[in-house]
Amino acid sequence: MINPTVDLVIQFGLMFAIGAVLALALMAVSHRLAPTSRNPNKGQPYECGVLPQEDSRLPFNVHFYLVAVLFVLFDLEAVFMYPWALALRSIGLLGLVEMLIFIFILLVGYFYAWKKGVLEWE
Amino acid sequence: MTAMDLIVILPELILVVAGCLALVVEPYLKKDKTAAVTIVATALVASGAVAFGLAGETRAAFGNMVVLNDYAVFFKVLFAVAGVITVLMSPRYLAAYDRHLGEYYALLLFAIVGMDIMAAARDLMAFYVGLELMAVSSYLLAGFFRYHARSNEAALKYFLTGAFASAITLYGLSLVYGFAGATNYQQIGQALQATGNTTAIALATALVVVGTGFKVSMAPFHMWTPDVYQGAPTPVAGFFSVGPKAAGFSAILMLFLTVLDVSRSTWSILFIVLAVLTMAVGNLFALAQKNIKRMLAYSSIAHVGYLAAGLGALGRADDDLAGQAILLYLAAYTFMNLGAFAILACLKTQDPAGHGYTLAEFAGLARRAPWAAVLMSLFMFSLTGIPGTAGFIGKFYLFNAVVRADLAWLAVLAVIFSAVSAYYYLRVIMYMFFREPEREYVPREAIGGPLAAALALCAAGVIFIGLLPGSLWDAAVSSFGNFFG
Repeated sequence: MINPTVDLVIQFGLMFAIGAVLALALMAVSHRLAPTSRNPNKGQPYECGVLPQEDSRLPFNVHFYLVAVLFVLFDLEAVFMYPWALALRSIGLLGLVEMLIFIFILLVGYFYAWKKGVLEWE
Repeated sequence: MTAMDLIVILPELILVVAGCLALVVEPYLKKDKTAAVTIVATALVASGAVAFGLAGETRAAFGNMVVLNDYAVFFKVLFAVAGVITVLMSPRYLAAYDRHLGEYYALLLFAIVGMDIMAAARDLMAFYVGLELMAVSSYLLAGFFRYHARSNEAALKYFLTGAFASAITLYGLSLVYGFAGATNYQQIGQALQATGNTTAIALATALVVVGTGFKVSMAPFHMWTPDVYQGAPTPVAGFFSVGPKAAGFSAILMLFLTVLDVSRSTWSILFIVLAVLTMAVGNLFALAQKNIKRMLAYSSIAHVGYLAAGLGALGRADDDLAGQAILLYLAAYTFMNLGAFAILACLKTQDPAGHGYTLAEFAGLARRAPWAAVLMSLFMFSLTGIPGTAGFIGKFYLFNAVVRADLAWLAVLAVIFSAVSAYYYLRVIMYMFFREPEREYVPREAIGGPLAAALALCAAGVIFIGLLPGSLWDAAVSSFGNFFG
């Protein structure tokens, strides 16, 4: 009979060991078995048949990020509203007030972004 | 939720409303941000006062996710005080960099809300939300000077290490959840008592120790601290060194005493090892620093080492003495360290382009700015632990608790490292009073306005705690006991 503590150490050790060995083995197998054909064309960036014209890492207008963050914010707000709407009957008036507080806090952020000129494109 | 639940989080509600108000007002303010500063300072004072007024109450709210008890009140008042001092030392510093914006104050308030929640949380969900609210606001504050490369570096390093630490903590907590099947501290504690201290729980404990150790910068997880403190705006660095650190300890105490009480033997040994390492790294590296801001960063690591020794003692002892001493130490440390950073902010404000926080620039300061030199000496004496200052009281109670927990060798080690720390703290005083400056300095305007108020608050706190520690010790004792409302 093995000591239960030692048993757990063995179990955890085995889990980590199998995980590590499996990952390494799979990489080694694919490295060994996969047929390799070296061709300079394979090093080219892939762009749907047409040769790439320029570097894809262009500086974007920072406005895109700000608008994207605003979008994510209100997207998540909508996500929160579905379960809330389903549970509204059981959580009652206080649930309604809580959601209004949540929306109000988001509106403060929206107002701030608006006043700071995030929505103006020039 | 009932309306009564809101009383439990009333101090945080005040801060959230004021933070939103500061954001709404910000776009309408031109150069003068007095309105935002007034709103935020008033809200912090109100929040601290309301929390203080709620002392003695014990309640739980939101399905036992947060509680109101003396433990939470102690930290809420402490955070409000740290916030007020930070707000007072900020305006002139930010204006000197032409980055005086209302957002700064809103972010500070949101960080403090997160810290309050960490101290009051009794559920892993609430704890984690508080932690992230504090952390995300802190990353933004660290990078607030976004046209300065160092500030950006600080924000990125803080963010990456912070995210890493959060992930490790979460891994540990998810293991805990897997064994206990609950997120409530009390329920987890009971469930884990039934299983006993198995290897798997020891593993989870170790992960939580590492993750939270990252947050409060225990060695060897401290690498980010000097870079972040050096790059972040000075008032923010001062705030980081006391606020999030104290919040981290408030959560560590709760997590390990209630959730992971079953693995006491494991975490007390881990904290003792980390304490020895942290005290050594913090003190020895601080010796070599020529930049005072980096020196203070390493000194804050050293102080975390003393606190970690207290955590180790808490795990060993049968009583709460070490926990009470940790609360007292955190309060004492808040005043002395914020004071030292306020002096740095003051000197930098007087010479934004030239001042580099180097030791050489402190030479002869006593003649150029006698008040700054005298106050800096007070804070340095306190950080060393000279009797009559808050630092001595904090160390006295903490080391006493460590000795009582049969860890006399650890206390001796801590005292030896305190003696080592005297070298780099007192060196600053020696430079200010007995060294001739290497170059001529133009006379600058004296300390004034809110910054003087911040310095006065810090100095008053250091002297008051140093001479009359009785009331604070009583508060620490009564706060540390009933963890669940």
